[in-house]
Formats: sequence, structure tokens, C-alpha cells
Amino acid sequence: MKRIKVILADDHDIVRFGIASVIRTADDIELIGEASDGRGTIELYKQFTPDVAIVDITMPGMNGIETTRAILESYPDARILILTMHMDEEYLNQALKAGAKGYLLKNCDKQELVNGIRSIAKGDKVFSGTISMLMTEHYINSVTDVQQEKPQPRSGSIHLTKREKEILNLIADGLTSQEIAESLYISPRTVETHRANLLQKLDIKNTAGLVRYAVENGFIGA
Amino acid sequence: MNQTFVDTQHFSNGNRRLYHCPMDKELSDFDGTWLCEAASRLSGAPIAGLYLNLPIRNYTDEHTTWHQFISYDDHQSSDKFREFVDFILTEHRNTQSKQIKTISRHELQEMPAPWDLLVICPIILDAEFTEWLVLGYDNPTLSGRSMEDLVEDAKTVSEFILSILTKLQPLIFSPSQGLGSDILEALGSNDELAFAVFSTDGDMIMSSRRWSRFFDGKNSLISTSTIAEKWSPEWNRALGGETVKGHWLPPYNQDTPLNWSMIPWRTKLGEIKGIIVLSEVLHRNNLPEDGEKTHLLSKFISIEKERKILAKRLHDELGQSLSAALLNLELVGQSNDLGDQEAALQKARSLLNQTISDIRSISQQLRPSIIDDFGLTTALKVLCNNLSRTSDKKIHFYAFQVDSEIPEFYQITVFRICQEALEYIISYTKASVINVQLFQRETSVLLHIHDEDLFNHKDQWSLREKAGIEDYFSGIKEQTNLHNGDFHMDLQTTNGTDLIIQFPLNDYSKELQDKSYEEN
Repeated sequence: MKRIKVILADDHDIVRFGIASVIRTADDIELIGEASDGRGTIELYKQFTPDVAIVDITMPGMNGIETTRAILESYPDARILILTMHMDEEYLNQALKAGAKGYLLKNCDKQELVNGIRSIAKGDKVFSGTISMLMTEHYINSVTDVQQEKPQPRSGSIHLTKREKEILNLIADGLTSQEIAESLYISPRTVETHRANLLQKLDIKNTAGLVRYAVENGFIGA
Repeated sequence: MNQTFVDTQHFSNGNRRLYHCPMDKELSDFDGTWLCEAASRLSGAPIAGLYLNLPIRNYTDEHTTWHQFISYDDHQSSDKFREFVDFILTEHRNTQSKQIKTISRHELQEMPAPWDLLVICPIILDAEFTEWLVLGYDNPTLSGRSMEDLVEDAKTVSEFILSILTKLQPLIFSPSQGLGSDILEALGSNDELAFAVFSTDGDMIMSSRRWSRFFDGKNSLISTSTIAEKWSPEWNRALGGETVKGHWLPPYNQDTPLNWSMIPWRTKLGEIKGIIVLSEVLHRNNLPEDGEKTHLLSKFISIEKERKILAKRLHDELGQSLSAALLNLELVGQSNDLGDQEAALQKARSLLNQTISDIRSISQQLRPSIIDDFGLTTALKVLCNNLSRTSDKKIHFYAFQVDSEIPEFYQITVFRICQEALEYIISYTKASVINVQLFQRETSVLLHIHDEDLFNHKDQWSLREKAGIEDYFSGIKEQTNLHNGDFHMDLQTTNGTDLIIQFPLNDYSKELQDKSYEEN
């Protein structure tokens, strides 16, 4: 019987000891190496090219996500199972984006871990029960958002807020910051900040550019 | 006599030139609501209310330098201004004998001189700028005298009040009986000011609360009971008609000299009937030091509070769960029944899982690891998404040109501030849409939170509500200032609120960054 070769990366000895103990209970899985940080894990992977790499996220220097990304750059077929304490959606997203094939929580039970390693080795994807629920919830939310036609704006996208549109409109009307402040009952300081934000968001150098943008994008009289 | 609320900012020629407030931190920081109350009691005097809005704050941002200057016309229709006026009138003034009239600045210029001012009340209406309510009166005895000179001479609140007391003199025959005695009463109830009025024999007629607290002891250097005796040279000079000024070292702080003044108290006919003694609350030069101490104190209080919460959670959550798990494991050893053993193990496993979850939660509260792992932008995005999901608000987050070069201590500070502000907005307001924007500029990082309809459920808010909001955000302001940042808040009744927090990315921040690395 061909045994599944596994390497394990975690910066805590006691955790590695616990996981190794669990793995040794399975006859079909063999732990061939351990690392305590990201760089060590990459070296270990190069040395053994295991069937599965079990990687923790929070490690000194290079974290588990970066390590996963680095391994997959050289070994696109690498099968990496994230084993972590983090239950947050963002960690899951980052791990999946990096190319991890599975995401298990450290408080999973023995059988879940062993079966998880087997599934990953076969090329399947594996997630803890809690994580699956999180993914389902996210999916439901995204569907609901679409139904309400209120897509969540993405970070970095050029999206103008209601107040920014208002101010852009008044700038296009030729009002000064002082006049805009008077018109909206806010301080000139706030107007100046909005103006600077607009310039940066739209990558425009000056007020004339803002006016041009407002005209071209239909903000006049909006 | 009509009362008028007018704007004098363009009223600057001849003897109509009334008032220009020098930028004076101590004055602007002084809460003069009590003084406003005092002035409002002048119901028998021919009062005109002057509303001034002055450029009291200069600041420079990346783009331009300008004065903050909001005219009366803006406030004529402003709910908050109207509410403030209503507050003054209903709470502190007999409105039956008065008629409120508002006039434009053009009408004002047609108004006959002379004018002078009686009382000027700085009131904090916003976290950033101070508006001033000025109650003045048209008094022939003061005609031709410039209030501007008076204010410019007054470098501190104390000196300013002293000037006002002097101005009041012609109206008041006896501090306890005459017209305006209730003004003195109100002045005396102010807790910020140490002053007392004495008869020429040295008997105290009245004093402020602060005076009673600090100077009524016999051993005090300035003592109510011994003032005429211990300070006889100065006292006699004041009795002779001279205003005497000096400074003294209070026993509780030998490094901080306080200014004092003795001023003769004259009747309308010029007869000296008493002496006003006034001591500054704080010496101007010591303000920064005192401010620093307050910051440190509040920091320590905050740390202690955090420790208390953490200790409670460790005890209540982790301690209890681990003890229960331990008991269940002991049960496994004590029982011979396999079913009981399995049940106890299952229970222990469940308790340990709960403990892990609690530890994760405490750890996240102490320091969100997401900042260390993915940076501020991702952390804020997650924060906004999570709060959006668990509340009825839509919280949108946008980041612009933010790189990982923001010093670590600013990242955690910005995150905490944002978290605190959002939790407040979610808990206490009806805002339905909140925009959180993070910008990195050449020399600064800026967090801008704007809710599109904060308080839209109300026609207007009360001053008390406003003060409550400002009080809450004062913690954030202090936190920002501690990190050398700049805090600006624009509270709006119907049009959303802006919270702008900016931290410099300069040598100072680099120095702090280096320091934090060294500490790590």
C-alpha cells in the first residue's frame, strides 16, 4: 500500500507533537518532515515533494498563506491543507486565493483530520464543518445582495459616496469650498477633505479637472 | 428695547468696530455656558444680543490654509443655532419683557452707534470650532470705548472676566442688591474661576465656588480671612484706586505661578466700595504640561480598564471552562463504566472547544491578528463587512493608494478608532448607510467616516444629546491627539456626520516606528 507522505508546518512544538500523534494512528499516512516557519516549510517541500503539506497560518516571518502561495508558484500541483485557529472569513478567502485545497480548524477531531488528509491526497477539497457553514452563509448573503441589487462595493474601486457626488455637483456649479460649506451646513474643513478625497479617488490634479469630470459623467444638476 | 442677534464680522469701522477675538486656546476651550446664564439675567438692562462667529482656528492641511469663518446668515436657518438660542431664552431668560429680532448684517450697519459689549460667552458647539454668543448692550457710559482693546488685553479667561467685572461696575451699586447682582451670583456659581468680592473692610461679600474651595483656609497664601491683612500693601493700593497685579506660587504646585489681580470696585459715582480679587485657574504656560498629564492619566485609566475586563474574562470564561473540563477528566479516571467515561470525555472535549473559542475571541479583542497578517486595509474591510452583517446598517469600505508602509502603531490606532466609531454609530444612531474611506496621501494617512443620514429620525437634536455625542468622541479625539494626529468632526442634524482623522507620515512617525521595532 502506498502511504500518503505528509509534511507539517507549525511554529508550536506541542501542536506539531499532537498532530504527529494523530497522524501516526493512521497506517496509510506517513509524516516525513516538520517545519516551524514558512521558509523552512518551502525548503522541506522542495526536499520531499510530499503528497500533502499541512500548514498553519500564523507563523513567524512568512505566514502560512504566503508560504502556500510560494510553494504553488514552484509546484502548481501541490496539495496544501491549512490547519489553523482562525475561523474568520477573510483568512479562508486568502487561503483559497493562495491555492490551498483544504481548510481545517485546529479543534477538529482526530478522524476529521485523518480523513481530511486522505481527501486532499486524492485531490478533493476539505473544510471543517464550521467553515462550510461560513461559506454557505457567505453564499446566501451574496445571493441576497444580488436580489436586492445592492452590490457591495469593492475596496479600491472608484465609487463616489452620496456626499461626494453632492460636493462634486456644487464644485461643477462653480462654488468655492466656503460656499459649499455654507450650502451644506458643514465646515469648510470637511469640504476641503471631501475635495481632496475626490481628487485622489479620481486621480485628478485640480478643480478644473473635477469640473470636467462632473460634466463628462453627468453630475451637473445631479 | 429690542433684542437683536446680529453678526458683527463685517462690522468693522469707526466706533462700531466691536470685537475681534484673538486666537486664544484658553479662551476658546473655556466653557462659558454659565456666563451666558449670567448675562441672560440682565433682564432689566437694555440688552442687545450679538451673535459672533469668529475665525478662532487656523490650520493648514495639504492643500490650503484658511480661516474658519461661518457667518450668521448660515446659522439663521440652522437648527442647532436656533435651538441654542431657544435654549438660552427658555431656560435662562424672562422672555416676557423681551422681543427677539434677527437682523441682517446690512441692517446692522445702519444701526446707530455707540455699541459695546457686556458679556462674551464661548460655547462649544462642535468638536472643532467654537461659536461665541455675545450679549451686549447699548450703554452711554461705555460709548466710545473699544471692547476690542479689552479683549486683546485679556490674555486669559481670568483677565477677561476681570475686565467684565470692571465693565459691570457702573450698573451695580451693591454686589448683593443692585442691578446685576444676580450676574455676580451666577459668576460666583462658576466652578472654573477663583474670584471673590470684598468690602473695603475686608469682609467677603461673595465668592466663586472655586475660591471657597481653595482659598478659605487660614493657612492659604491667599486666604479669605486674612487677605486684607497679609496682602495689605496691595490691598491698600487697590483701595486707593489702582488695579494691582502679581503672581504667587500655590502651595500645591511650587512650579506653577498663578496670576492674581486686585481691582477696586466702584459705584456709579466712582466711590470705591470694595475690592475684587481674582486668581487664575491655570497659568497659560502650564497648559501643555497639564494637558499632557491629563492624557497620561486617561491613558492609564484606559489601560487599567482594559486589564480589568481581561481579568474578568479570563476568570469567568477560561477559568470556569478549564475547571469544568478538568473535573470531567477526573471523572473518567474515577468511573469504571465505559458509557460514563465516554460521556465525561465528550463533555471535557466540548468544554475545551468552548475554551479555544473564548481564547480566540479574547485574543482578537486584544489585538486583531488580521492586521499583522494582512494589513490595515484588509482588517478594516473585514471589520466593516462583519459589522454590516451583524447590524442593520450598510457599511461600505473603500481604500485608496494605501500601502503597507503605514507605521504599525498607526495601523492599530486607525483600526481601533474606526471600530469604536462604528460601534457607536451602529448602537446609538439611525444611520442606515455608513461610508468608511481610507486614504494614504504623500504625507499623511486619513480615515474619513461619513454616515449619510445620522439622526435623520429627528428634526433636530438637543444640546444635551450633542454634548453626549461629543463627549463620546472626545475619547477618540484624545487617542488621535496622543498619536500626533488631527481629529475633525462635523455633526449634522439631517445631512449626515463626518468624522475625519488624519495622522502624519513624517519623521515623527518614523521615529515612533523605529521605537516600536526596538521594543519588539
